Amino acid sequence: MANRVAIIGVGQTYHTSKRPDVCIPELCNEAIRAALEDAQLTIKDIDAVVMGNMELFEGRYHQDLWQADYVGAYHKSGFRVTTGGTTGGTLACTAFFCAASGLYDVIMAVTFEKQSEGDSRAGLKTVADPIWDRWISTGAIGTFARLGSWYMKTFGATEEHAALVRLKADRNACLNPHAHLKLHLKTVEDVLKSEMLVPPLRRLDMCPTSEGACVIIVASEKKAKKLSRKPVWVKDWVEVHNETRYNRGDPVSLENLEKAALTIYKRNGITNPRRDISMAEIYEPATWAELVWSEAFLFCEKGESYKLIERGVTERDGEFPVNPSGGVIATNPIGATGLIRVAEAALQLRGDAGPHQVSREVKRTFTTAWGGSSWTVAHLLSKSLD
Amino acid sequence: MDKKESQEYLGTPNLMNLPFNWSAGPYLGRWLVELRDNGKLWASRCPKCQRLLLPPRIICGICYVRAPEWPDWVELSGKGKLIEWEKVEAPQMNPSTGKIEPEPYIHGNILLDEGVSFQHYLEEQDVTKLAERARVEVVLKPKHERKGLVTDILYFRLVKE
Amino acid sequence: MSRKVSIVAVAQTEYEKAKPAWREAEITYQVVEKLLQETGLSFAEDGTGIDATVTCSSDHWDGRTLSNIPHGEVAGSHLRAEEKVSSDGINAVIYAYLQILSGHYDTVLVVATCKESQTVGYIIENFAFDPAYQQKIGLDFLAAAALQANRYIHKYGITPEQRARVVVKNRGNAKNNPYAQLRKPVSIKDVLNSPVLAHPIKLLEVKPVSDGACGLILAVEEKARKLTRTPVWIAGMGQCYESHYLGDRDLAECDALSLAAKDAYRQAGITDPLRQIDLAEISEYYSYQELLWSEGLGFCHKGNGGKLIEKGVTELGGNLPVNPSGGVLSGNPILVAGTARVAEVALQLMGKAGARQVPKAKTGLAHGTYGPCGQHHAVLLLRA
Repeated sequence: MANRVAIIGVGQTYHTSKRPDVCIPELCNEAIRAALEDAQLTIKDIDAVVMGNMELFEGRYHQDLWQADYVGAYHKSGFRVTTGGTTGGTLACTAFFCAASGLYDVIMAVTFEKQSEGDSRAGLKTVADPIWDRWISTGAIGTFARLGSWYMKTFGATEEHAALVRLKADRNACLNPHAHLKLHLKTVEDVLKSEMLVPPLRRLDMCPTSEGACVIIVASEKKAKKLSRKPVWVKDWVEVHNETRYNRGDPVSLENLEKAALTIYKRNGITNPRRDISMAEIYEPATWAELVWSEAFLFCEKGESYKLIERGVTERDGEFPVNPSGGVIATNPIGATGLIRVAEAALQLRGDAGPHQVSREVKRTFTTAWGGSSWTVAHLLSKSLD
Repeated sequence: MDKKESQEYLGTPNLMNLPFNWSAGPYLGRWLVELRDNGKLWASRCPKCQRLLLPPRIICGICYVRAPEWPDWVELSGKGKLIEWEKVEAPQMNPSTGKIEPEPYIHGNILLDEGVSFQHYLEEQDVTKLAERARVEVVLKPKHERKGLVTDILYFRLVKE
Repeated sequence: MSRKVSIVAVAQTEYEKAKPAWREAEITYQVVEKLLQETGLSFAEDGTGIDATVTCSSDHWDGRTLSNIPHGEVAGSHLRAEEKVSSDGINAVIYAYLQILSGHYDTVLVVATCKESQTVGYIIENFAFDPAYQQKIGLDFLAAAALQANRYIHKYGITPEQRARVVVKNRGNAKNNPYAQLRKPVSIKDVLNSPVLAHPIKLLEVKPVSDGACGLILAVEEKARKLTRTPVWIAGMGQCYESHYLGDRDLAECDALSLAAKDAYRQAGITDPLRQIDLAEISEYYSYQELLWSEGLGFCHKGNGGKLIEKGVTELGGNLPVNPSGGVLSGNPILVAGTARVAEVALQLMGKAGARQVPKAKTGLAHGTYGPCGQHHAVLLLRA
């Protein structure tokens, strides 16, 4: 087991569809200022800056180079780590590794996406093998449509259940000052009348295209105790990638998600996640993903998650809140999205989430990132050190 | 209007293309040569888990063993059944040229009779005529039009059996 | 910091101007296969295998979003931990080092791959500059290097012959390195007579286009001792960013490198690098860089890089041989260059460097850099 580290500061920009008023490094600078203010530190306290985003989306080669001055990396150490959709989740791990190594005391992880500057759809298309199947690739919408129809067919869930997930996300997003889409939806019908993309997936079942940045500041145990009044302790983290998925025979691949959750639960004595964890911030790019993946993460039995949403269990004031921030369905600056989950969980553990603070006491949180061919990163954070 | 509000935000456009010539390697390259010259489809087989690998590649990523090279592959009949399909109506960018191709098309996920799935265009453009488990077979371009690309396969067409 | 970390095995492909027969991931696999064979390790998850993989590749060079999908697949990523460090490959090695120090993993596989021949490098490099400011004037890393070379020459009086000596020395060393791409020695006259690419930099002063891969396995002390009889210990590490805008820097200096070296030296207890270090592999993408980086590393005083090579200090038989492998100038791909520096130092300290072996090498330094005019530097100190 690793040396102990803590999150001692978080910062985000507001997220929206286009920020023509700032360039990429300026966008990141907004988030690092917020994080430093949150941690009551100055840039002089930072030993290393680690950075990541979707490499091809804005076209920039070695993006960290242009960013370096703006994020305070000048004459400091730093890494650039990119793993696609999981980048934000991985960057949290990078900061944890650095702080736990003993070679650095305080590390800042900087993630962003500014999707209006490139062609994200083209960027996603080029995930496919250039010789084999890129010419036929259609990206994420087909994947989540298949997931939805499989779930309905297998367990008897309906489109109304997906709409309930959206309503929950929207209620939460409306309370979150950083969230992108705040639609003030009232009824299931409001969701069901949105445009159908690929049945059963509607526009409001999917995440938006967002721009924004997110930063966390991580410290070694010794330094965290010295610098922070409310350190959030990092209990564990796990990363699960896999082989190229060429053949789509099985529409629903959950093995990465299941392995990530099982590994982290087993190592930390979690036998009943809904009892042993207070809440979750998971990377759900679509309503159907929240339903199916909640089961993969063992929040409930297979085929039960649509009943959780029916009963309000995963609401902000419910027994086991899932994505009280409004989640990825409301806000998705891809490279930063995974790190936003961690930052939001840290705020909840500190009791500093403001209007979207959950009702129950938060002692332990489970956060995930998702990307690539169903790659999954998971973290377990805790209010107390033991 | 104060000074800040009157700021005009500019962008710097860039349309430069980055050319590539990707090597297909001995595995996928052989597969393409067989398709172009002999009109044959093959898959390699993992010596450990016995699953078919399409496209053929150097290792089975699950078992982590080296896969055999051609000709120790399984020849595919080009026949199979339709598992699912997608009509792509939104104009799509052709990733080889960067140009938008406005024509809608249907592509299908086909389970070949040898037990491995394959994705390609369908000849049928009317979705109402498609059904799960419908029999399909491969249609290649005429030999003189083949270029050693996956698109040397024209499409899969519905067949009655 | 209680853990000790060792490099237990290294593997390289031969570096070539093009490898048209292979896909990128197949080149990666050639290296991974050698590492597994040499160590007998597998990807078993019972504590006896490799715990995690760090890959190093680039979406830009591979022409693929998530370039680590195929590289990870051939490096054991299925349902396991894999991360991609997308900068110079020395940082992938350092990353694995930190992962093991953290206590999270015990054994980590690192592999860096680049196939430069399949696309056009200067276009990619142009995308590293601020798009609204310096990209539009067409800068690439060669043009930026020419600015740096001119400034360095102007400030410190570095001569064309001194720069040419770097090429002659490294190409001479490369004839002993079976992995090197350019193994034919050249003369000072050859270098001086080669065509100018960007004044004052001439063709033979620039690293060639190159394809290949390099990988290593790192392990925590207890495991390392069981895996090899020649462990190479990581004794120090330093890393540092320089300013991005070229106008913000005095290009004749490399403060970021000095800062990185300072950290690494402090950790390794080095106070007199010239005497305490037995050999160095440093990343000279252009001839003048070996001289400038030697100054940054404290092998000589500022401005004395030219005299250092004139005195023969950095020759194979000298006090501190620099780039006995032939260096980046003899052919290493972008990204792979830094990993290859570490691998070459490790081979020297293992006593497995063959005809390029530096006798009795006990302490070695590996250096990697990326970005225009060396915007990011990393230094690793290794001990036998």
